[in-house]
Amino acid sequence: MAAAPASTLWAVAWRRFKRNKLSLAGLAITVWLVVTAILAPYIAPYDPNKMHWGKEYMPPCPEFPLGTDEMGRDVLSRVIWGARTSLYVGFASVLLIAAIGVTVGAISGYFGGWIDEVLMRITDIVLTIPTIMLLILIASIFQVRSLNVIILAIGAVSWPTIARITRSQFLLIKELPYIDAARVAGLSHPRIIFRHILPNALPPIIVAATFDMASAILMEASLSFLGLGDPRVVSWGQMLSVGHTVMLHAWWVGTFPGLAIFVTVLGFNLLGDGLREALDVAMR
Amino acid sequence: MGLKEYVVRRLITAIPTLLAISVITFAIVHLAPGDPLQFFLALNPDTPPWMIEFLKRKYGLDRPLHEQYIKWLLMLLSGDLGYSYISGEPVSYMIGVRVWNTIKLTLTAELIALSISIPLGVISAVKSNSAVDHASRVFALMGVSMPVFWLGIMFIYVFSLWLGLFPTFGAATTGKVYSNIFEQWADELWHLALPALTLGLVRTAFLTRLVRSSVIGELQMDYVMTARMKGLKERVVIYKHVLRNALLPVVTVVGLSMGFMLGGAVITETVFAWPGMGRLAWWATLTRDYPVLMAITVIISTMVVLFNLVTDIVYALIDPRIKY
Repeated sequence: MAAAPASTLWAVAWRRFKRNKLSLAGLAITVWLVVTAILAPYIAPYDPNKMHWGKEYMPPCPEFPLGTDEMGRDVLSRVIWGARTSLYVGFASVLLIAAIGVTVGAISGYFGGWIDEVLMRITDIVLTIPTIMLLILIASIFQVRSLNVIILAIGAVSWPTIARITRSQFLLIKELPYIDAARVAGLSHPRIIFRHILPNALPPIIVAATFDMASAILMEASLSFLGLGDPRVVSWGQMLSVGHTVMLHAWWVGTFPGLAIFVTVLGFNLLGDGLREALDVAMR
Repeated sequence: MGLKEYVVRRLITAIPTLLAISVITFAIVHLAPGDPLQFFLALNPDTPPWMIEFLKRKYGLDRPLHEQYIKWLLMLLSGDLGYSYISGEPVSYMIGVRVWNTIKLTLTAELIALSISIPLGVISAVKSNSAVDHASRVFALMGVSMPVFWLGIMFIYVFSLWLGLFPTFGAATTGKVYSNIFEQWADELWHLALPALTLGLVRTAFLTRLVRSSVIGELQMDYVMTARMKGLKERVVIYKHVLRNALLPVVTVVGLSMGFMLGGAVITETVFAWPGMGRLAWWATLTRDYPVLMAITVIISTMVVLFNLVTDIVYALIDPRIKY
């Protein structure tokens, strides 16, 4: 029985995941980003907000590998610190999305009836309002634009996908004999939902959450680009909104943060694709 | 039940959705801390108290919330969208002069996306794991990861600033007098090219992935083997049998994701200074011009609801298996 632990769902998935080079690339990119974000204070050559007087708009050179921006700040240091903001918003948003989505989907799928009816109606309505409109509407009403407001807004608009996936998983799983057994054994609803159904419903939720991570990062970047971000933190979207106005004489100010967003989102999308394949989750 | 009843029933179920959207939009703006006049007051700090009172009464801000909502809804239904807090112009006029530009941009982009993604997705699926498939998958993956504003900026940099081939902003040359209609069309098309391509390419990537996975799923069906065993040419199998079925989910997604498209338009319009509703929404957000923002949210959402409705009906028409 020594092989028993190796044949769990996760072990099988990892073996399948390893086979695909693109999936591994996605994993490598995301791990690299997380490490960069955590170690930002130690690896950034300068303070990202330090203005080097008289060295504005320096092109890439040994002193400033990615050049400097309009206030003489080091672009490389800002790109490194920007990873922190992006990943923080990404992870926090996904936690919020999953918390709302799984709760709504689980209740809806498990209890069914009018509760399901009402919750799915609400889900459909939120899906109908274009994300970006709802996002800028929420971002615009807060007087103080903080990262938490952005996370709240992203969470408020993005939960329906996971809610639907969770619901359909619950609809399938709750009909299985072992759930009947659990019910007959007199287990409470929360215990059945969280201990017996949810773990088996996880694979598609994890895949969706990975894609949500990519889109949350893209949303934060878009909001910051539109001038609706948190002005107090270093953000790729914000760097880009300044950078694109000076593209012609200082291309490096906007190009590198843009590239950073692209690589980050690509990394999470590759990881999501890999997980989908490895966990054998059907698309849609 | 006949098709007519189905359409009527779907129309009726759209009404609560639209009402809910209007409640959500209204609630977000009015339950927020601070009052819509605050931005105006920040811009005009010398406003005397009697003026503030007057403005509050003029915009009905002194009334209870549910009264304000009902008044707003009734105005909305009669086509009166109120007045901008910032410019004082009627909102219906501000939107009216821009709505066509947004429609033009999104439809052109959608057309570009469909005409590239369907053939590309089909080839990619049929020649699965070939070089073409790998190339198109890499392209699609890059496209869905590309921030639409960055792509737009790169296009402006390369094609407008560097090569000087396209204009950098606007929907037409400002102040230009056209000698004939063709000259006007050419000028408008020239301005449309880059923004439509930007929005269209991101969309293409998304749709290519969808078409590919849909066709691959369909190719595994039993009827495909039957058709092949009957000795039908592969081309007939693909185009007459597989494609028809595989495109069904694509039709749904295209219809259902028009909202996503209009969202992309907000950002694209901002980058290219395209005088559409998206750019207006962005400007209204920065200036907290709530009547404008609320009107645009409701209008765009209504467009999405109508698109969904049409999608459902088209779907019912082309798929004989659907019972309405």
